[in-house]
Amino acid sequence: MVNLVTSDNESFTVEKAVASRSVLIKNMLEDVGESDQPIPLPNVTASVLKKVLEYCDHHKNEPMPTSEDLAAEDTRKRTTDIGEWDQKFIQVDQEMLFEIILAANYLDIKPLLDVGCKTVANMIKGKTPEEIRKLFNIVNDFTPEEEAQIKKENEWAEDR
Amino acid sequence: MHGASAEELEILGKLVAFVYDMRREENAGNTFEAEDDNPTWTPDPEKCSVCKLPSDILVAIFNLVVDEYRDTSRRLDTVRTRALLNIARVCKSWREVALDTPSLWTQIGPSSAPFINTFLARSGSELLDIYWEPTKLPGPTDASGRTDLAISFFRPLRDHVHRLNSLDIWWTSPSVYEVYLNRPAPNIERIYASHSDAGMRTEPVEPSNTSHVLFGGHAPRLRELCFSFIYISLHSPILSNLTNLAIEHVVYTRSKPSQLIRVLNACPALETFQLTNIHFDSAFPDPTTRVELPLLKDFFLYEMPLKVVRYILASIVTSPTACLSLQLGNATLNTAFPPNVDYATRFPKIPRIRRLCVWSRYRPFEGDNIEVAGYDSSGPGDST
Repeated sequence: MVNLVTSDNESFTVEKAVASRSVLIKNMLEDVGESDQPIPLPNVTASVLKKVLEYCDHHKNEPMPTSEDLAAEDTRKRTTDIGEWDQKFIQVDQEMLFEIILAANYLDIKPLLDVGCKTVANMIKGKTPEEIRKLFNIVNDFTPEEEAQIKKENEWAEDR
Repeated sequence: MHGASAEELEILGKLVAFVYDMRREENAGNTFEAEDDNPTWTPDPEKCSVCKLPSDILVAIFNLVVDEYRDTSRRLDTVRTRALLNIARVCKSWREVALDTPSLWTQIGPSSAPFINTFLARSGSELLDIYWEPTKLPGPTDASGRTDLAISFFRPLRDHVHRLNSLDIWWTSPSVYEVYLNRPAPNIERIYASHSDAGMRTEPVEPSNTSHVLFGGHAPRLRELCFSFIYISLHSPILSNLTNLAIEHVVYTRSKPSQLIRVLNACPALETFQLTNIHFDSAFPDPTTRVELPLLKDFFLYEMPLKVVRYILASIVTSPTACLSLQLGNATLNTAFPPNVDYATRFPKIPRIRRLCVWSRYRPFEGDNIEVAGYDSSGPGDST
């Protein structure tokens, strides 16, 4: 078993196979060897780690993506298809969604990062800039002059 | 009245939702401005979780948005282009990330035409995938207006030929673009090009001389070439090391059939080979070259004069698993392959065909076709 300690000082004891879905943790375990020492995760809160571990537990028996898999992914067309279980898993509020993405990035859990990025990509697809801003609470920080310039740049498409 | 079951209703509901989503996506992608249903809305930066993402994750997300439309049906070309332009209009940081990510700008289609210089500049040194289909572009519908549009699309490419990865050109005369594509293309892997005058469909005739040589004859990584209603010299150096070759609707008045066999000889790894409606005016000598094509999987000879078919079949050696499809103009089963035909003599260079399947297929407007499939049968097939 592996003991993980979150940024808000909560401890999680999990199976090694579950924790090792994180390449970061897997490497730490390999470096340290057998040890009872808790592994600190200063960038992840308990609520987020709980979700991340739920994902890792569900996928613990799947083969880890190899470097060849990752290289092939760069060359082939990326799709935004998400598996059924993953879709349900990622149905969370926006704040949690982006926290999961950041945690997956920090913990180096590529498949989970993919699920998060695909979810956000699906949210963006087919939306206008204003719709995207409203969806994510993004401030339109272009000056009127910049906006006019961009509008001019896209003039051809504006007319159609 | 028959009531729908719960299962049927669920399927219907999913179908309606799917159609709604598709339409919404296409429509939204075709506009730059949203209906402002809440003009009093102001953003709350405190709630902007997406703003916490580092740029490398944003890049991954943007790539997913753009890739969703990559290689899909061409009608999404407009949506893809606008999705990218929309991303670059959301806020300064997104714009900065989008503009600093050349891979996002490498797919250039008709709807990107007005922005072609923008796309070329923003794609940096990345390889380009170019798709052109004039009918997909709003604007002039007359021939000269369309030509001007095509020229304005292809002219800027002249300085980027070395970055081409693929070219997909539809319904456009090569005379419009060949002048801009005559520099070496060391990275190009695929080219598909077609041209036919609307309604006329006249085969191009081999010219007495050619002023422009595609890619200056230098395209060492080219593996797939498909030309329809476009003349390509059988002496072109780019016709080598191909894995997929298709030439359709051309009349070769001066080139000899033996040159075609030399092309095949220069493509030992050929997997798919198709000739459709190719004519040679020169005489057909007895075949002297025997070309080995061990990797050939699919071999199509459509609407070809019988003498060309016989000449080609007598000049190549394929694997026993290669599938040969023939469609012979006005031939019928009885005239092209009469019952007493000596197949072993007619196809002497295709080894180990243990069985020939010959059947006639009716296709509206095409009349009778003959398809011949030669394959290695492990069972007790009819020996030829």
